[in-house]
Amino acid sequence: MFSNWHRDKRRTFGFRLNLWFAAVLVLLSTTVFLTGYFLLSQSIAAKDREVVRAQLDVYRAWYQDGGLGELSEHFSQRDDSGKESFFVRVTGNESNGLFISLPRQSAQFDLTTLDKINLAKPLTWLTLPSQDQSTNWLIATTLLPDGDRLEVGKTTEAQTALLKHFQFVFGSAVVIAIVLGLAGGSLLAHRALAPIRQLITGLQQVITTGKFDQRIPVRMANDELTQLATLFNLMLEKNAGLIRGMREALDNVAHDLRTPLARLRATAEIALQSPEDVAVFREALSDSLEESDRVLTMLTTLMDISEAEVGLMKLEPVKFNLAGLIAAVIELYQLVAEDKGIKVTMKVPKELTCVADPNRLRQVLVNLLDNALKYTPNGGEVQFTAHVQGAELIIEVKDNGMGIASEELPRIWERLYRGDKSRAQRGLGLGLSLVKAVVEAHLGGVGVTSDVGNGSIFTVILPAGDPSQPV
Amino acid sequence: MRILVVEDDKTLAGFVTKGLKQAGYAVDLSQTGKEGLRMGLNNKYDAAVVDIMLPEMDGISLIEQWRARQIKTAVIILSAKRSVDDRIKGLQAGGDDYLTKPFSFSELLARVQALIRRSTQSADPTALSLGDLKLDLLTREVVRGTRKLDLQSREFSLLEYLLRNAGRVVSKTMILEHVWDYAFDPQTNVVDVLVCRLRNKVDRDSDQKLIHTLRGAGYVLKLA
Repeated sequence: MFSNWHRDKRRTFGFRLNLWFAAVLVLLSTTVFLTGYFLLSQSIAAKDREVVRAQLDVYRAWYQDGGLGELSEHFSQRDDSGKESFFVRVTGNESNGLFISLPRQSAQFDLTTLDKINLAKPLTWLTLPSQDQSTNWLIATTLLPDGDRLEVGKTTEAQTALLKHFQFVFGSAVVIAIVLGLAGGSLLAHRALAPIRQLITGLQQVITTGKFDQRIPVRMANDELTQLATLFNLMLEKNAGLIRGMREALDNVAHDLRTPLARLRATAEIALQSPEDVAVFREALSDSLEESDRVLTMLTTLMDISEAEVGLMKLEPVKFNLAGLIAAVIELYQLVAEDKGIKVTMKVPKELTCVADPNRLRQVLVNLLDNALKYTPNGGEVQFTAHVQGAELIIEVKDNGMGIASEELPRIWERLYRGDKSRAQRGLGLGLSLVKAVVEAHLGGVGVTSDVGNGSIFTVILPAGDPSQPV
Repeated sequence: MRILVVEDDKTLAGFVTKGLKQAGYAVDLSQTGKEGLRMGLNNKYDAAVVDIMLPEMDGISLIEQWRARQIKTAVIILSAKRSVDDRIKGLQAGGDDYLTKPFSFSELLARVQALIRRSTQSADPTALSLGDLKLDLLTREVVRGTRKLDLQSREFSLLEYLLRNAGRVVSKTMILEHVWDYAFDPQTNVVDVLVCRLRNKVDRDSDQKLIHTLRGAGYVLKLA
């Protein structure tokens, strides 16, 4: 379906655009032609009538001066084209020709039609076709004072010829307009749709090749189509980012799981190769069980970190009391702290609220406290503080433990990184990575300052919620 | 006691069936959702273990259909999905408990037993005991032999939980859930620390140890 639709030219947008363009052009030029033709023929007809009427007036004046004799005398003395090109007739009451002059070399017409007309008005106009239908006669008839009729007419040959010429010129113009319209329209459509074709080709390539890093070329014009191409590129960029993130996450998880899985396998292999001893086997099986639990925990945590990092972690932010959450976290670790003789305190305003996913934030705080307790010697102290500063909510976990060497500081957030001194402690080396990933998924940030021998301060900065609303 | 297991993975189903039979239950196995639905409608079970991803009909729909037809068998959902959403969805559909794969069999057994007990037991006991260890739920007094033990509240909760499940393995996750009401594993040693403290108070001065650690599985309170 995808590859079929563009083959049918009749359905393409470009073709329809071209057709519409041409149709509008033809309609416009035809209208102009028809209007021009109508106006021209009207004005030519008016001119003809004027000429005929002028002739009629001349003949009537002669007739009134001296009757028929005067008329024919003047007429025979005339030497101009009027004599040649006009039909002049004077008839009596009984329609007997009293005087008649027919121009030479002109198509004849049926005189009897003239006799039949009823003269109601002082001047009557009549258009008669010639007998061979080649032209029309325009004839004016008037009643002379003595009751006779004066008829003057001329052929419309000149008029017809002019209009014919006009038809030809305008017809040619329309044909040229259509040709130019089609050509221009197709050129215009072609040019206007070029970015869309580029977009289609680009997207087709991305879809068929699966190369999501490919981009659609963007022209240097700030129009809608450029915007469209830019938006498509942005979307591709975003998709590519997500795909890259997922691929990276998958690679990382696969990589990080190899080591514990290798350990698991080695345990089983060594047990199988050792002499048959139930105690050894039991030991190996227990080791395997523990190792597989560790792999599982690692997988869960790595998935959490990866999801948080690429923005796939589902967060359900609500407004809640921060002091309550911190107190609960401290309570959970009460026994651990007591065992080590470490005093865990908090200095958090009772009414301080926070907008975040409480389960995820608890995970963050649990990891930070777990960390602080691990690296603080017996008899030490850990303190939670929190306050709002501008648009930020700042939570700090301060310990007076061993501290972190400055060269290690930037690396502590890395996955599976464990400092030299921390290797002795239990743990996966994922806690701080999870803290960073979850906080950043909340659009916040993490930080740490440390003084070797005197302790560290871990900072979590979250966007502060609306403080005006109650919990 | 009769338990229905609806699970399509043959190895896992065999492992669960065998374990439950060893624990003294009669077990029926169904490998598809539709068959499981029919079996649940036709027989009366005390509990059911239902996988979510099943051929023909998924576990959630199966539970919903049972509940719609007034089948009140306690159900434990098995799932490979670990998100809170799936857990909530499963429990809303009518499941009674939720266990994420991979799981330890002892945890599954403990949860099955807890469900059956919940549905059969009428009155709560006022005192629990094992050997010379006695725990009074009303006065909150704990005595080992003639020695009175002074327990903190968390220690008391843990001991009560272990006594209620005497002879059965409880995992760290289960302890976190029951003693702290904590729904997810924060990867801490909190449980170990609590167990260690309780052990010091309960077992240190006695020759017979009651709290045993099962590596990779959890803890068990038993006489031998």
